[in-house]
Amino acid sequence: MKYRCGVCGYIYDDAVEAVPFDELPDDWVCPVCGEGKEGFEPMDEEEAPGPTDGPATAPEIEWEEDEGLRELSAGQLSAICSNLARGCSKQHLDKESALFTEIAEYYERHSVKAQYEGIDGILTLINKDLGTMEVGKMQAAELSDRGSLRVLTWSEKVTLIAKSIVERYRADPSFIERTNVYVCDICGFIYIGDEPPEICPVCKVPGFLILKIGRKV
Amino acid sequence: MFASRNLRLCTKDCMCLYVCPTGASDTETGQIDFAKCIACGACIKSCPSGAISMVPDEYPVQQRKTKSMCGTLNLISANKAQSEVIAKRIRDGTDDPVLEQLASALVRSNRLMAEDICREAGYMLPQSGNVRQLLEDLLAMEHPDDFPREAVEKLLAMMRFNE
Repeated sequence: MKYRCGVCGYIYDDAVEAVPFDELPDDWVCPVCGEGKEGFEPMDEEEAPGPTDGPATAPEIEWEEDEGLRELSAGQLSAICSNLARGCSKQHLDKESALFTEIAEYYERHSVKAQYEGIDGILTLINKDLGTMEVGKMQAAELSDRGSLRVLTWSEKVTLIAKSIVERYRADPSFIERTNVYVCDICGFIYIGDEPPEICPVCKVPGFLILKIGRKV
Repeated sequence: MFASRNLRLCTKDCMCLYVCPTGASDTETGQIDFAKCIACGACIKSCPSGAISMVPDEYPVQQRKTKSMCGTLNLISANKAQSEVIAKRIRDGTDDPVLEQLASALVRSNRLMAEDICREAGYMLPQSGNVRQLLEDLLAMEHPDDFPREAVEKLLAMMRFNE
């Protein structure tokens, strides 16, 4: 029998593990994202691994009239420009990359104080985003917009994992103390553990792109 | 077009040095001399570690996105950008090294997600019409004195927009 982590998609396979899933202790957690045992679902033997797609047809979505034209915030402009800087450097357009970085840094300096604060503020936004992502995935599937479906699938996983880590930290801050913190430099997947995974469980880049976040001494 | 070497993949088999007709791959930096490269592709075909690729001069026009899809993506990227700001405040306001570390991870993670989501919401290719429009809009707006106006003007002049 196989069981899949509902947060990061990690598969626990009774056939290859020493201990059957049912016999694992109650405090056992997913080795990839730290989700508890209760977050695992048994997999149908027929089912292919990987995320399940949303329903074939999206429900009718009513949009605020001005949502599409909503002005971009300073933070968004900064992210657009830092990403364009990356894009330029991949094309070896180094001068252009530096100019986009300059604009990104300007907007980073001018990012306004957030509406929410603290760990609770981050959790509030995470919960809002998870709802929007659910709707967005259906919308992207309906439009056959594979790029949007891809980014929503990745960022939903990264967001769920971040949520599970932040909630665990709030319940017991010591779980990070004895180990390391990593962030995948491609998708933003956060990993708490001694060594990073060989391949990012979310976007599948090799582990050398999962970077360690240092701790001040 | 020119050939570019991925230094993470290059295992110094040096077949490119042997086949390159102009000596463009023989440099001290490890990277190919783009100015000398004539884009013949000989190095790419000869490289046993698959470390060389051709960088195109022109890119196809980026995929069009619907306004409603961009609206949804923008709602999320706005929150990711906001989470980055919140995490920065936590990071900069704490003496606890573990909280500082977790907040730093959240800063980075949220930035990467915001970037990726914005990318899919119409800002994928630096040469796209959307990016030109964005730069023009930025120039037309009122900004504080430290706005890098010159950087925007230079980009509008330098980028080879394809729409």
